[in-house]
Amino acid sequence: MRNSILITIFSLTIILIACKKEVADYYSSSYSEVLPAGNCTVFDQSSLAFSYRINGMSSDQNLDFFVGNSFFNQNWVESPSSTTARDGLGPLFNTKSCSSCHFRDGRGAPFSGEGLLLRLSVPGGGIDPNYGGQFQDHAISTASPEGDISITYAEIPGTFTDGTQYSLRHPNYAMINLNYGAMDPGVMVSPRVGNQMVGLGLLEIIEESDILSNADEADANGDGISGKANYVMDAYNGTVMLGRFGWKANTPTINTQVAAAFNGDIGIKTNLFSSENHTSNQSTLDLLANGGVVEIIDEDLEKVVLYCRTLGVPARRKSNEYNIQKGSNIFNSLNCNKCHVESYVTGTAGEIEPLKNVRIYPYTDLLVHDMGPDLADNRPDGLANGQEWRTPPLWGIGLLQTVNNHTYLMHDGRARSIEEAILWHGGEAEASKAAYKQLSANERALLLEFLNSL
Amino acid sequence: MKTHILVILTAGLFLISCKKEGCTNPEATNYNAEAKKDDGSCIIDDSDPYASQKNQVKQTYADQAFAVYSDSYDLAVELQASIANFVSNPTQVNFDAAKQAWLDSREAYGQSEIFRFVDGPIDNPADGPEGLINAWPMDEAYVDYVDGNATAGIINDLVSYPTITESALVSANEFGGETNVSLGYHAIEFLLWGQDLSAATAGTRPYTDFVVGGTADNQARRGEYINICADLLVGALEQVKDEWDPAGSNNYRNTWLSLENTTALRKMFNSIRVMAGFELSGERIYTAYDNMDQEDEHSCFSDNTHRDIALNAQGIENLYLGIYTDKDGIVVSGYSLSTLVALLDDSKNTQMVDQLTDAKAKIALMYTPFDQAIILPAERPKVLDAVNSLVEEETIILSIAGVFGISF
Repeated sequence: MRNSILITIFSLTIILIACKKEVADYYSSSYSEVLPAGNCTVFDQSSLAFSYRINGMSSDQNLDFFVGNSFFNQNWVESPSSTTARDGLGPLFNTKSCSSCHFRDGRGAPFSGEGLLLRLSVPGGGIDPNYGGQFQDHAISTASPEGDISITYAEIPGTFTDGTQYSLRHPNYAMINLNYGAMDPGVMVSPRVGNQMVGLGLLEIIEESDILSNADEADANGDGISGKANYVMDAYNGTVMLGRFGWKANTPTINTQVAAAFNGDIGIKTNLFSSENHTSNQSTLDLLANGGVVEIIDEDLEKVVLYCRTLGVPARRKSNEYNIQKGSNIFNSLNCNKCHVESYVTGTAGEIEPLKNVRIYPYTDLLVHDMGPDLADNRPDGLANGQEWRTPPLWGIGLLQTVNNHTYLMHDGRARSIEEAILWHGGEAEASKAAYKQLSANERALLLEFLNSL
Repeated sequence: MKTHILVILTAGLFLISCKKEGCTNPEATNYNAEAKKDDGSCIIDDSDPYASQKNQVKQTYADQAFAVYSDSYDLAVELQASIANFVSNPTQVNFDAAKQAWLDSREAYGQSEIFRFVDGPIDNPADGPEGLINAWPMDEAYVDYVDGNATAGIINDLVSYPTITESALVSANEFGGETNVSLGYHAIEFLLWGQDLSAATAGTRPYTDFVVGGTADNQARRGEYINICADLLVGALEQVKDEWDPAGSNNYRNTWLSLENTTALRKMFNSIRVMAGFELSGERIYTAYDNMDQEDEHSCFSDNTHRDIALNAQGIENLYLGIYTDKDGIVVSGYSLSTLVALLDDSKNTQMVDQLTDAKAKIALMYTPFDQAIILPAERPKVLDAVNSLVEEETIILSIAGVFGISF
């Protein structure tokens, strides 16, 4: 008899598992925050949620978006090939397309070719004499890659105040099977994963004064949170500007970010970065076939930039629910909003009308903060020191699982979930993390529910 | 003994309920017309007088999906046989037959692409095989020799790939989760036609590239490579077809039919707007028009891009009108989205139907081959006309979606 019941339960379970349903949840409310980017909000909640352009552009801009989309998504191929507009890959590269590290315009995963790369520098600020400023672990068929990236993780257990256990994984990076001689013994390494692409054009035109109003480099207000602007030379404009993009806010404009990524990550030359990404000590690579002096022409590059500026921000889900409001209150009470600043109105720069004067909710201050020794890469970048990282925007974070099938977070994807990302916070965020650990399980769940609604 | 009966009973329950479980109330907004056992999921919305019609549209979509993927699969099987025949007996006649089988197989697949963009079986992020079927641009030099490099590619790389096997090619196609585009329709196309190096013709690969002792090197390996590509293509299309098969027990078809009908309509409108306004007009036509690059086109080796474009547009019409004419000329039809739209807003429906006709006409007017249509100064305006007509389709479908309270 007991067997029968067990079997019945077992087969009912199979039925339940086997017949699961697709649940769709489209939000329809007038609550303002459901529109994280006003008229630049988009409403698809599928795996393509990050891939839609904003509404309201000119018809020419709408079409240029697709040219940009095409160059962003399609693989670059080795020269020589029939598709001459798309050849010139490498000879050294990390990946073959923008989209492989920003898959579905989303977030990269901490694996070779899927979004992880290692930046290199030597003490004093230079690059490695043999390997340059970035380690390329892939190459075209007629060349050797620089080597392989080895990642190992060590689990670090921890405990919430209520006694619940958790575990974080601490990464160790090594560059092995080196093919171009020895690396500088003092080389400094910074691992980075590709970030989601939504709303970049909006972040780019937040008024500089609005960003600087949150900076408090000397912590004059004594709240333990400073916030520093990273001023860096912008290759596109040729002037020192406020950095906004990248994990250390080391890039002021999307133009520079895109051209630099084409060059460093894919090996595509532009007028802005017209040398291949290898060093003079790797000059044998100069003899290989390439895609011409410039491998993506300015016109096409500008369209990729337009594409990157105009990906809409997905609407929030379930934003009016009581739980979300409770979670939001907890977020603020833990001072998360001191760095993940909720809202701005965009400025009026640029040629893309619908991006201007928009009330947005990106949850970032675009400033760099000391995040403590556990997260540190100990590699300075512009004015950011080895412990400082830019506050990443949180919009879209709740859709990462849907879009990218993973929730690897932080600069190198070490956190496997939003909760682990919170627990990696240190330095200026140490007090907020400590407060999070003291929350009850229910309060932690409410906070995560709020974050997942973004 | 009792146990045995119970086991049989529960096993039976399992089969019945999983075969067709869903909402069985025709009044519900998530009515599943094929469900045999109610699962308690019914959602009743008395404020929707069109629930029944919407559910029928959902059914038509599933029937059409199965029909077009069945054709795609069957034609891929014919392509596979034709290629196998050519490789084992490489003659000009068999080579031409294989090329014709490739062109024929594209006729169904091109119309199936309207079922993309909604996380369905073809391109859901978990296991949708679209990237293995139709990805481009081909990484030519990764696969075989190219102009200027006679020893390029896996086929000529005996060191890294001592034998050409399915597992070797699948792993070569994997690149950190992305694809090298060394498999699928366009890999087969490249191996049959070769690079298209002239304006006047498609690629001119000689059949003797597959004759041992003939032209180029490694002819037998080339034959093994193309056979494996065909096998993998058939397998990928079979996977998608099975997900839509009404005889399937627990496949996507049942998931689809159990969708709340506004969610299903949203997916249909999304597919149409993305195909018309993004993928076809933007990525496949305008990008090539803008670049004026002879080979920045979908089927660049065979010069068959004009058919890809026409078939994608036909797919939009098929979905909207609820009519698909299969490879044998049999019409598969059902209660259509168009009929439903007409109930709510007759003039918008007329506008859409007229626009579908207009876009097809504009596409038909484009110069063939497409790689010349984007270059010849007198022909370029016609390409832009087709783009604009498809963009107008998107504008109208967005307006129609608004009638149903759906915004994007």
